[in-house]
Amino acid sequence: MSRPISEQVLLRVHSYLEAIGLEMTPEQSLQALKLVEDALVQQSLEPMVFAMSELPRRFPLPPIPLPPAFPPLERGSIGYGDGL
Amino acid sequence: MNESAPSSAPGRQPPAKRPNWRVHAQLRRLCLALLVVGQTGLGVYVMVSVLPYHGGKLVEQGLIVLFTILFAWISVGFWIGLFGFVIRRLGGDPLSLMSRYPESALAGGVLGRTAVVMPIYHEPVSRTLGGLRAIYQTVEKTGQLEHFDFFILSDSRDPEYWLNEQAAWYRLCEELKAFGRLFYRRRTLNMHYKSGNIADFLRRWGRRYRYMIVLDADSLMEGETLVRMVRLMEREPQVGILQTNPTIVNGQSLFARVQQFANQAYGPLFSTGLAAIQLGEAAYWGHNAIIRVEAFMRHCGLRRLSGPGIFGGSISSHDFVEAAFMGRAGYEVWLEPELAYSHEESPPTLVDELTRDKRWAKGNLQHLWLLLFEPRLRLAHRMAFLNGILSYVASPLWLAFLLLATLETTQLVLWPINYFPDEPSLFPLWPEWRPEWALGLAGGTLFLLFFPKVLALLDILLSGRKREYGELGAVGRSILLEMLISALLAPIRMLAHSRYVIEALFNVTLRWAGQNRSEETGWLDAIVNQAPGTVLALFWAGFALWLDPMFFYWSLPVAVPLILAAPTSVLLSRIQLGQSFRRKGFFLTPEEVQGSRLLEQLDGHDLPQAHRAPQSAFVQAVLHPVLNKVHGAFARRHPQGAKRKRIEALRAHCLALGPTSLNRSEIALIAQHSETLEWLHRQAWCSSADQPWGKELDQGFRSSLSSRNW
Repeated sequence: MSRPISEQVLLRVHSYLEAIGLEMTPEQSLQALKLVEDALVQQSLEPMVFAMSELPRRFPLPPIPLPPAFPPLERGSIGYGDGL
Repeated sequence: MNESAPSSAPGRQPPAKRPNWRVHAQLRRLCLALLVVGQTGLGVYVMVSVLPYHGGKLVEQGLIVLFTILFAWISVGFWIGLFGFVIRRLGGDPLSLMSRYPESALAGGVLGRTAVVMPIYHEPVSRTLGGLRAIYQTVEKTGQLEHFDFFILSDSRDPEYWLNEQAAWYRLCEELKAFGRLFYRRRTLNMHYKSGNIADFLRRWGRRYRYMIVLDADSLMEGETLVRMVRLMEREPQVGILQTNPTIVNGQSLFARVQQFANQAYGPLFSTGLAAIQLGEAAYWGHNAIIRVEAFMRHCGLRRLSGPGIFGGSISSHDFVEAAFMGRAGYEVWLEPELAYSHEESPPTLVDELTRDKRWAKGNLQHLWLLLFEPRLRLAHRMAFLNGILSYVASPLWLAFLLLATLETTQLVLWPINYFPDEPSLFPLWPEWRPEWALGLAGGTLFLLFFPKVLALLDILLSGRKREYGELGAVGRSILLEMLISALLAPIRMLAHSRYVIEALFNVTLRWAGQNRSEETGWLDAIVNQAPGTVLALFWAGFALWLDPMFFYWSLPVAVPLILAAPTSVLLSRIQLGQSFRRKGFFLTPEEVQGSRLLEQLDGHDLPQAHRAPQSAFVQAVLHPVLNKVHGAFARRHPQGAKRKRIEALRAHCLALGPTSLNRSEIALIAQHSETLEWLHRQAWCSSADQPWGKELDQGFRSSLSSRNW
């Protein structure tokens, strides 16, 4: 038997917030429940789509700092010892 | 010497008084040559005496030629081992680079900026980057980290590998707080193998670094060693390459453990002897070495070879060539066995070793072109080429020797005795058999092969190294068992190398594959792989028995190992067997007996990685919000035109049917474009639970979250 849509949306929201590293405080959990409620009440979008698109606006998502993949270029050229 | 050569090379520290090592090198090489020639002459004299017609027939002349080459070849190894033993007993080589600087003289001074580069290609990312992490941490402990940058240079083509590498790099940056010090670069066009990868790095960042320490995917080096190498280079501006002698560690399978024991027990003798002969004209082995970047960039570019067949195209074994070019430019290349804590790993199985040897056989044979036609190379480096070539060509020569010996015996047994083998004469030539001389010759050959191993045992006893190998009796038993296993492996290697040499000469396409570093050999694979050798050996031994029982006994040392090749290969690959021998005190190494900080850091702390998660690296790249952003940062911007349409069609297909609907190249295409990755990420998270991506999210992804396995 499949889970009710409310549970599916809540699970998805929790998964995303956990994956991005947001600590789920009681306040955040209440916020998640409110988001699910709003998603079910609104009629314009699928509840899952609504919840996921609203998520960045309703939660303080932590920034993802990206390390530089490489340093600034300081190009060298490869020679063949021709001047010998 | 040209204007760019060492005299003007940047040296930041005052050099020590330099001995005129070139004169000593000439004397030592002359001494070696005389000993080898003398010994070979004696061996050939006995060989001629042993042959029934004393070289009077064509077959015998062929045997003598082959014997001369092979005997000289093993004589070189014998004398180098003996030199190494003597030098070690005398307290080390006074001409070595390290002997110029006591520890206190090396300390202090500013270090040149150094890049530690690790080229990788389809390697197990946990081990590879785990090793790099251990190196990074030990450099950090020296307090000199600010002078080093670390580069992972990937040539991986399979998206499952490079997505894993990118994810692991990010995790490593986070864990080590190495933002801006640990970098990742993947070539999308991986031309010219590893040397092309290094050249690509130098073209981008070559002017940023004075030195470059090149690692292999399985290299492990202690930070102190890296710092010491940079300091030596600072004080010796004429040195272009400084090569350490990496010892093999971390062997798990029986095969790897035997290799690492042999390397650690016998290696010091041979590396000391080799370094003493080569002095400042040593070879570069491609990794665990420091390179003066400016000199390398100026002189060590590798042109494509212009000869026929394998002597045309990219140079596949680059290291010897780069050392030779460095030497030609007037720089010195040193092998320093005293630079400790430099390690690598052995292939885990015989199959893996032979797969690697296939690449190296072609690479070394290519050097023949350079040996003959490359102008102005130093004689020592031409000899290094010859040495590398003979490492593989010796096998078909040995095979040819066995074939000719069989032919000679066949003629003697089946054909009537020919008293006039050369031409009509009044004086018949009586064939003579001197079995006692033949036994003496065989014994002498075995002495040359195995006596250096006895010397190694003596060196362990006399130098106080015995504490590093566990119980003395176990060391002796390990050496005896190693000799037996190496005798079992020698004919298998001979046959395989012969095949590789022939394939290379006929220029069969070379597949450049990553090395297996973990799996065991299955029975079916082993039987299939070794079947040709086994059948050949059975036929040969059967023929020998039919021909002459005495010849049959002579054939057994070669035939039996070939007949047993499949079980040998399987059993040696077993990790459990390797560990069982370890528990019984066999094949122990100093790192295992005394402990190793590097190995502890490597073993105890597995690197979290995507392929441990229940989902593929691609699924993680799409779903995980952090990894999606990491991979997006490496990806390109969306293309225009037909390619854009193709990608859009693919991503719609992927969204509707899930990740398993794509093949590798389609996954690579999607994962290489940032907008597509981001789009898929958004859409996947909006999928309902009954759609493919929804299922991935609600099942596998959640379990990976709970274990933080990404």
